[in-house]
Amino acid sequence: MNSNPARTPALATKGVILARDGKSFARLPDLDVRGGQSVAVVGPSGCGKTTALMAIAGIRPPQSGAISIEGTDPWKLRRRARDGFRGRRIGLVFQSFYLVDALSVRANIWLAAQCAGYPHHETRRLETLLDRLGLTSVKLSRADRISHGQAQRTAIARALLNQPAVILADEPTSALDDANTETIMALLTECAVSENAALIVATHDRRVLDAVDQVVEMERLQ
Amino acid sequence: MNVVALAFAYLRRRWGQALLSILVGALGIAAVSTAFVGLDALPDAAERSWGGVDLVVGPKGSALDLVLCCALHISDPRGLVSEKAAMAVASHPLVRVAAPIALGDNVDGWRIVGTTSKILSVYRAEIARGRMWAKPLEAVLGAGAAKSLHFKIGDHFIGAHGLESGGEMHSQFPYTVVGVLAPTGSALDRLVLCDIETVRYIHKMHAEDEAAETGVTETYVNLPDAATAVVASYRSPVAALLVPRLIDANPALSAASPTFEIARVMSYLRPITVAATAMGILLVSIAAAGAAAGLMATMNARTRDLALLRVLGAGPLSIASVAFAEAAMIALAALLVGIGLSAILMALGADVLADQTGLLLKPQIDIEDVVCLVAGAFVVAGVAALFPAIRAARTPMEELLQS
Repeated sequence: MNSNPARTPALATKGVILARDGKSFARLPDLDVRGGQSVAVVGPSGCGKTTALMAIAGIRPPQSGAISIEGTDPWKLRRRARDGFRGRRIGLVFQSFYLVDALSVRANIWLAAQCAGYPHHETRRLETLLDRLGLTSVKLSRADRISHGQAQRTAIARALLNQPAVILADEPTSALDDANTETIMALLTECAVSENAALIVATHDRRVLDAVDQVVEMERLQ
Repeated sequence: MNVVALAFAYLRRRWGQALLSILVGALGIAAVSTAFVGLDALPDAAERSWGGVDLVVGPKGSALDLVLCCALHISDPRGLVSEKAAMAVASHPLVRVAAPIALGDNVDGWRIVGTTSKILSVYRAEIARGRMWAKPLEAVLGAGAAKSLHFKIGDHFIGAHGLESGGEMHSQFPYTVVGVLAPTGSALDRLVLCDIETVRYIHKMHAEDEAAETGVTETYVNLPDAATAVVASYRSPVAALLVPRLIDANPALSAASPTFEIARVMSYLRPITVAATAMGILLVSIAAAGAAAGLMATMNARTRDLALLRVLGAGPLSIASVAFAEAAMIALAALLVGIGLSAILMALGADVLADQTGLLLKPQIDIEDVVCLVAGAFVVAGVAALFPAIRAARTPMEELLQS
């Protein structure tokens, strides 16, 4: 388990086969991603990119194969431990951001720490993230009263708060124009480097490919 | 996860629905607490009002009437007795002190009571200002009567016939205020006291005038020592077992115990407590059902948020506790509003009761009742939140990534 961070990859997968309705339908190419590196998992819609992210995040089990996050296979943990592990070591960025409208920007980001079981989390990091992502001026605004760009940055800040080993981003640019795609990818890769986290982007958007270190394509199974 | 902050934020989002649940719940809680506290306070108010009166000796008839008329000074007298006969049976060794009272007149609605100085001993009252009456047509006012009538020592007033204002004025018999009693919290505070002979004389004159006009002779003419009743205070509780029996053996007299009669009245009022409690429980149930339905609906609308919390690492129990926290907050708000509402209702009720009967309602908060009320409200809230909480805890995380 995470004995030597320098030699242990942030994320490693081997022979991960994904199933739908009990039938295997896709294979995730083997990954070995170090902190600060970024990988795009590409393929057409329905090819299993999101299912692969769910398997890595410990949300839906793969049919077979091994997943290791800093040396820990989330699927070998008990359910409650897996939930906690996901909260602490994996940051998720969704295409639709999924902010809690009833809460402020600050509280939305803070949720990540609280849900992961860090009730007395260092608030300095939260303030640093707010500042770094340009959210300080709207930190007390309710999530449904901020702009699209601010919501996007709030979602990224939430994913980064717990200093995750792996950042999983599901179609982060699918609804964006070229300029915004470039901005968001720059922000994600820059954050991955600065936080020393492995960034995995599931996308069918070819504009993303230049921004990442490695591109892998989902393999369809017969 | 800060469940309380999240639950509060959600409640704020659906404040209209939450407010409705709080108001209906508060009405139920107010009904239950008013029924419990108010009806518990009533016997205490009556007991304070009758002061040290353990026994009322009056004419044959309803014992409750005797208590209401001569101990609580709420209702009208039913007849007269001979003071000598009543005092003879009341002067038992187990009786500490007894005083005759004669009713019949008022000043601006405040009862003028002819009696002897022993009445102060019955009620354990003291003169606060001035002195006791020393001759006819001198009056000593109870503390409440003095305050309301704005009479000072040396002021004069005219009594009116009857126990309510508006009766024929006895203009030829002006009273002089010579003393004011210290407050006792009893019915004595609402009385205007004078020598019993004064009342007898005025009524004898009045009765003779009436007889001259109508040919009918009133009792006050035929019974020189007429009194409405004799009120007495026991020396020992044992007296309650012996003395009333001796009095009831007299063919002209009847004994009444305020304690016994008010307990009897309260037993008649018990169904009201039950009905008010049932109504309160019904309202609380409606509020709980409303809160449960509201929570269930919001849990369905909140599937995405709940799935997000699960993805962020919150366990099913933490997610379920959001629903419980929301219900608990509604319960807490309903409790606070309900208890406040109950306090207002009781204050208004106490004012009306004091106006109508002179009874001073002083609701006592019983810690056991409070614990029952609080525990009951939170148990109901917990039951209301149970299904929404289970629904929340079972939210699948996949919904978030697949939507």
